[in-house]
Amino acid sequence: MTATSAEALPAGPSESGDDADFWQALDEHRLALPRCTACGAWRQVGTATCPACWSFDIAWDDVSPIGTVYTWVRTHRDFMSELDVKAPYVTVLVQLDDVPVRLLGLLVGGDEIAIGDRVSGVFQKPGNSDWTILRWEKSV
Amino acid sequence: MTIRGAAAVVGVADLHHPRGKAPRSERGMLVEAVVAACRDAGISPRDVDGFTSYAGGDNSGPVLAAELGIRELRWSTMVWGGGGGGSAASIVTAAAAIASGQADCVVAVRSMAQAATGRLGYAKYYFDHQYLPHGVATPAHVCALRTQRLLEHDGVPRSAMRNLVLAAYHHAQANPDAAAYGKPLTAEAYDESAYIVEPFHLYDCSRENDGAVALVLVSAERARQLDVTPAYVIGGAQGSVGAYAARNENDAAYTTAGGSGTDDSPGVASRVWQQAGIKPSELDVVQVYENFSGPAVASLMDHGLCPAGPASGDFLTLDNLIAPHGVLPVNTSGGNVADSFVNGMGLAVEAVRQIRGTSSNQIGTGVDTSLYIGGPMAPIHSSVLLGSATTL
Repeated sequence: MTATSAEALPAGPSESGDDADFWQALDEHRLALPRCTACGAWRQVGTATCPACWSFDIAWDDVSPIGTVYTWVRTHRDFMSELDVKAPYVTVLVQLDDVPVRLLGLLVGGDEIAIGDRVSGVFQKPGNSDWTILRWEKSV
Repeated sequence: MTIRGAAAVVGVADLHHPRGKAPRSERGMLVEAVVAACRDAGISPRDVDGFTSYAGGDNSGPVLAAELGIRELRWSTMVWGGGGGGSAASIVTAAAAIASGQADCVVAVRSMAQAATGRLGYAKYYFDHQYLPHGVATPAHVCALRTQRLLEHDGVPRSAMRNLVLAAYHHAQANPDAAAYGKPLTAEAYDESAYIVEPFHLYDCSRENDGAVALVLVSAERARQLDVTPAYVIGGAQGSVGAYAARNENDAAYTTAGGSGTDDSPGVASRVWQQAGIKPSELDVVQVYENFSGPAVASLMDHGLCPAGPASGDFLTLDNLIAPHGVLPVNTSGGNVADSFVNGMGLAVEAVRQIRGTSSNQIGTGVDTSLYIGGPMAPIHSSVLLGSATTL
């Protein structure tokens, strides 16, 4: 299946291309996040400018996909037919250890979770996706 | 310059139908609501010279001008971003147009039909690829993320959410127009209802209706010449601090509804109280938009109407939340969860009814202050405080 199929997982770069490096890195099993090369501030994936200094200059730095659960939800209905995981499933919001950034992702390898739990990233490419997705599992 | 007391809501219409049962198109229902609200005010629809709305849509001011045959359109304003978060802002924007002399008679409107919007599908058009691959695909998901932390980290008890819902169902039993009229809800039934997106049970989620709502605003001077009880706009604000929910879950005030402030940025709630010159403790009654119960609890905290954290549970008891004798009656028509949901605008009409003394759960005669808080945990937030003539 390709990303243009109706049942493909909605993933991959946006039309603006401002997030292309994020998705490219995931395919190489790296987490890369945008940083302003003018002032050093960490930026939001997919934005055009740095909100701290308005520079357009950007670098994509490799970041360790390790962090702490900031919050989570458990979905009990299948809202999305394209998702390769069926309800009930858990989504976590992870506060990364090394940078002041929080990222969403599906929890894999279990469904019990609490705020404060330690998690690490898992790179998965679902069968109906052209793109690799960063998911999370509880650290042992 | 301030909008305080410059304009008043003098006409209202709240026409709602079961989801998918719209008797006419969104535009048709919208025109019907404007005409009905004008009739309520005793004003000819031809005298309307402005329209405001929120959450997008194609039924713009020029379109409505043609449908209604108005003489001159002077104000046509859509509040940007955030769905129901901009609902109160549409009323405040109408008041601002009148206060600044840009227009004389402005109608804040919203219409929804499931056949036109497909709202019950998931929000593929709204959430991007930082959300969808992770199964975060509906407003319920993003509100649940913040609510789970509100409960688990901040220590707000489940009872705060439950009692808000039970109060709405209690009020619906006296409102024959409410969807839950004749269908009371017990705490046990709430607890036993299925989870949709945890921590939200079924009963934590708003309804969806087809329908249209309109509120007619004119200047205070003109309002006094009409045969209605004016609900004066005595405070109102829209916005966000630190970009809030536009920051992909990276905002600082994560468990607020988006109406709180910081040391150098007051936020929506403080700006409303400051404009009105009224303290939260002086408020008579509140209608708080519950897309979901948890975000509405956060709205009450943002507005200083209940304590934060575990202490919220001491205040948000059923007794405190129900009319006529509760300390702070909320959602006195049944609200979005037990009355109806036309993108939350029905709650604004109920706020007007309390000033007029015509609510099905009237908290008493002589209501002076009635607050409508717009959609919580959205990229933009807004609220509007209505007052009686006594507050001017």
